[in-house]
Amino acid sequence: MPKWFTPAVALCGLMLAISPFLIANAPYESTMGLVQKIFYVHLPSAWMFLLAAIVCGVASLRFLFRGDPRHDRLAWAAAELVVLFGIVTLVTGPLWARKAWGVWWQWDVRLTASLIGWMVSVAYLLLRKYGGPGSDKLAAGLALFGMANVPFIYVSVNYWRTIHPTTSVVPTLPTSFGLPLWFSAVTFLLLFVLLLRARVRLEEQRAQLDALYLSVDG
Amino acid sequence: MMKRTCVAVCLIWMLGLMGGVRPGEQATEWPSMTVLHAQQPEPQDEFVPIDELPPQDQLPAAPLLVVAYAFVVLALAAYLMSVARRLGGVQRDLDRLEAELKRSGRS
Amino acid sequence: MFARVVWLVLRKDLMVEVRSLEIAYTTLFFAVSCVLVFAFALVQEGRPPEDGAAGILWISIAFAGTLALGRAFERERQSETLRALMLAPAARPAIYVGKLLGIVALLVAGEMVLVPLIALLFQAPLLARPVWLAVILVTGTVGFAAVGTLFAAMLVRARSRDVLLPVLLYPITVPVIIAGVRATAALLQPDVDGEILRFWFALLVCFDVVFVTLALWTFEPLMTD
Repeated sequence: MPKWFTPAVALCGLMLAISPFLIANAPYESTMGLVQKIFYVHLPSAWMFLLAAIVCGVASLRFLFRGDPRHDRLAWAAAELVVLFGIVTLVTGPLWARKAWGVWWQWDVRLTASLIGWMVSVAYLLLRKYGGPGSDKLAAGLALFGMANVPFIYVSVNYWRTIHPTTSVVPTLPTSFGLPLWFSAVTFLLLFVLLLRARVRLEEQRAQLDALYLSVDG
Repeated sequence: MMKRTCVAVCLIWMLGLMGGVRPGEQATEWPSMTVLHAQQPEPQDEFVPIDELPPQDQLPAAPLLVVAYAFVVLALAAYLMSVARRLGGVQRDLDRLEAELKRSGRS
Repeated sequence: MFARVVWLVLRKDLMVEVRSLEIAYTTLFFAVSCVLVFAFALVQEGRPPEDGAAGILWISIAFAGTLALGRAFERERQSETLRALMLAPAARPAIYVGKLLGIVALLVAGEMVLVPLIALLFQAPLLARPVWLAVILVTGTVGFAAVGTLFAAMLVRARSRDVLLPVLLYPITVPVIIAGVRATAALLQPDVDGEILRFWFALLVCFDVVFVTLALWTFEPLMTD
């Protein structure tokens, strides 16, 4: 593990301990009330979900055309984080919607796109686990196609009735909402980087183990 | 009614614990609950102003909020544990194999 | 040269298929059973569900398409002909396009039976605008088969490919199926809203362009060991 890892873990733990206080002290939103506090985990995890998907796609692209196994390991690690942050987003979202919209789920563009993106990442992991030899390239291709889907679903937003809060909410946030949100977002980002590094480390160890086994056999 | 109030109180307690609310602040939440309790049986003569959110609004929202935060914590903890377990397993295999290699190299 | 390779691969696939008709018959029978299952499940007291026909048509195509893709490449695997095809001194994208056209031809042939059957069983005016329906069906089928052909070709070497093909294919092609269903449903309305129809059709065309481009671009590195 790199040198920065342990201090970063300590910092992340500290921030995780502080953020509940900030969230508890934030004011209530006028129309949604208490349930709006889900926002402080829902939005950061949704951002990390997208970030992980982008990391996975770019790493897959580089692996496919350069063949460097390091990129493959990064893509695999990122795909697992897509699943993790995706499930957090997809569970916290409906819990919020139940109160704010009155329904658990709505076939809204953003929700559909997130669900499809999450399903593609689950398919990616299934492929890595059960695909056997040669599945690394196939998985990279899958990640590319999964990335290509997302902008298209965004285009159809004009023709799709949407009740999801728009992106214009975030820049117009007053400081009392913004501070806990950005603090939480930075915490999630740090957590994302740490988890990604730990997961890549696992793949590195596995590669080392395989190399050792080969040297024993050979 | 009693049971529902108890459940609501428990949930708000859990929320308070999870949200890191200090005990001093929890005390401010109690009066609103008792207001709800006292108001129910008799007809309302006057409107009582409160500083907190109306309890009717809080009751259904609190479980959702608690479940959401609990899920986030559980999901992250489960993933952390899974990565730690896998890392430990691979590390053990590596150590064992290296020890074996060393032994066979010596003999 | 490119067109010639495409034609040769397509002709080879069609010739093999015409001789046995194995994939055509089994896939078609499967698609028809699919439609019948939907009919038993959804048609109650002689009344079909409103706006159900478009969805059932596309679900049947997706299910039958997966089966056809799996079988088509299983045949290549059994006699190791895919390896031979890859060793041939031909451009990889041309081989891909040939295989894709073969699958599309097979699926379009199946759709010719499915459309009247669904129109009959679900009392839907599917044949009211045959040209638009044909255009939408072919566009959607190309989008579905473009991803399907690439994945099925790659999965030939993988373990448990029978399960993995639908697992990978459906999440990726859901947008195509959504656009196809919406376009077909718009077509089935008593008075067609031209703007909505054109929007979903344009989306289908966009999917086709992106999927075929991506597949042509990645077929070469993906099929190299």
